Amino acid sequence: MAEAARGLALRGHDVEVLTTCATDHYFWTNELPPGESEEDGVTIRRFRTVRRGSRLAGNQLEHRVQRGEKLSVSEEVAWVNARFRVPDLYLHLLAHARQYDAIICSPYLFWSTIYGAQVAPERTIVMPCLHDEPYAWLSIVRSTLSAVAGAWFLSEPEHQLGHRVAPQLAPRHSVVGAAVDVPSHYDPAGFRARHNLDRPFVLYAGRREEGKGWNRLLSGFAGALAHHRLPFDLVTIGVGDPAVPAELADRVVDLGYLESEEMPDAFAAAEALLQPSANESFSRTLMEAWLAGTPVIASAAGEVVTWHCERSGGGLTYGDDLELGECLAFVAEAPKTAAVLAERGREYVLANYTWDHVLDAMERSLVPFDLASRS
Amino acid sequence: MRVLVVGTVPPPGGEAARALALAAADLAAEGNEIEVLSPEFSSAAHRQARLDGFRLPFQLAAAARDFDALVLRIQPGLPFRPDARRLTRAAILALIGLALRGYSQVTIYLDTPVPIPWGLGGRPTKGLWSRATTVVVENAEDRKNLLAVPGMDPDRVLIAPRQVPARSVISTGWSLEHEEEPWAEVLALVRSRAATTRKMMGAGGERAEPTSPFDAPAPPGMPVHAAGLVVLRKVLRRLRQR
Repeated sequence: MAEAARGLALRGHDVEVLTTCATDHYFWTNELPPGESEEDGVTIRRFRTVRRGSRLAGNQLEHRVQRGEKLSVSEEVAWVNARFRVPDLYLHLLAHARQYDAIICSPYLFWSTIYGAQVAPERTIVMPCLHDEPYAWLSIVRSTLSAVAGAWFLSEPEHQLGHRVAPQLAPRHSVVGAAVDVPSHYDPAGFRARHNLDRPFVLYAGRREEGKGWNRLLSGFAGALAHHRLPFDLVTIGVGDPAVPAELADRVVDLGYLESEEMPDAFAAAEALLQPSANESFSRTLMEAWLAGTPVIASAAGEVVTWHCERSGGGLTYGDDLELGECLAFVAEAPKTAAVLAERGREYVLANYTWDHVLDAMERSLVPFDLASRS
Repeated sequence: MRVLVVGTVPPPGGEAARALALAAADLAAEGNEIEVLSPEFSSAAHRQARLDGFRLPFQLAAAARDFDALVLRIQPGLPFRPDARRLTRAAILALIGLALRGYSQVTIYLDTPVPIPWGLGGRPTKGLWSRATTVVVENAEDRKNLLAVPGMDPDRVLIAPRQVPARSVISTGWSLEHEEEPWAEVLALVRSRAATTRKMMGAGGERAEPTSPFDAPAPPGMPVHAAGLVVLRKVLRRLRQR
């Protein structure tokens, strides 16, 4: 979203970002000062988050949602309020909504979107970043996606899911995609040297949590090591406790959180990127790995990543641990063919997911909103 | 000669597993009676048992009376975990040294990097190397490191001949008909290789609900306490014979 905001501002649009003072999506603690600032030509207004009410009741609702239980509408509202709220943002929108030609809310499951979209639905576009997960099927999500004027999806599978979640989907919806920056150069050798990586490795870049498939990946990797003679370590980048079991301690390297400037080099240095998550609405890491000429091995449970792999002919998908092992064995034993796959992936990214493509699609989608606000 | 071969053999494969299986096949072709004991429940072995840590020397001791010779592959987890403490390592090595006395010939295959924590030398490894008739390593670097251990006889340390990248029983290789557009072919190979392994594991070729190797049930085979009982029975039998 931030990059899209900067991109639209660079194309001459007057862009404001309304956001919170929080920097993490687990605790929503106010860490940045509230107020107005300007970055790269974009005005940023930050508002304090509020977390009040019974945590116990909130947690109980959370568990019920995750178990797929049907909640009443009032329980759903209580659930979304129990996580965090940004009342000041809502009030700002209420007061200033008419000053904006279009209001884009993202992602779908947060208070700021569920509530923000209600202020001026006729000029609101929701960019939901939908995953097929229990939250997506809440009735408040359905009504939000139905009530607003537009929706932006990142991929065709997400678009299809949007129709299933909200049969009366916002009338002006489209697949705009997401963009990745194309680095001017890569320094894989420097990355390996900086992080003392002297063995070949496969990479997992993302949050180390159950929902992203991290635990499953660890056990799959252990199984692959037991079944195949693999030269690879597993290097992981991201936030969250990796909780590596002792059995794997000498084959898993945790680099923790890395600055974004380091990421392209990490992708280029890896022998393959592993994407175990089934909950992806776009999968930026897939694109970044392909751009770096690195093959991709992704979970077939992820509808979106499978779609990318099939469309590009550039990534392998696995349905279980044995197939993961075979994919890794393929990369180890047939690196030249793996490089051909990665090249197909790079061509796919350059043809579909550069900023020019995505901003063009966003602007096309915004035209009716611009006309409506002028009339 | 009756020979016990201990270590992982295919399926599912891996070069070292294949090398051990080929060594066993060569011994069988020479007229020896072979029995393969593998820690991997999917291996095409005669017996499976957990062989990590102290379980290995107990299994070796229990089997010694039935075999003349031993081929032992030291591989990750057999017997040492990478995080094995120095004292544990020493105790396991000492017990293996004792267990090896029951065999007239001992061949040790070492994976690379050699999966013996805390290095190849030291007093605890003495029993292992002194009982080994032959030690087979995978490359010149490992041979050099092993020969740096005091008392190591260079004639007993061999480098394994590089295996022809032959396809194993289950391997279909990665050679493709359409190298320029490989995606569909590679994916089909991944699926078929995994399905073959699944079948050999008794899962009927269908994708199974994944199970975690961290909480997997113990593979079938002789548990360590059972091995201990075998040793005890042997002692009682010998006492009675006297």
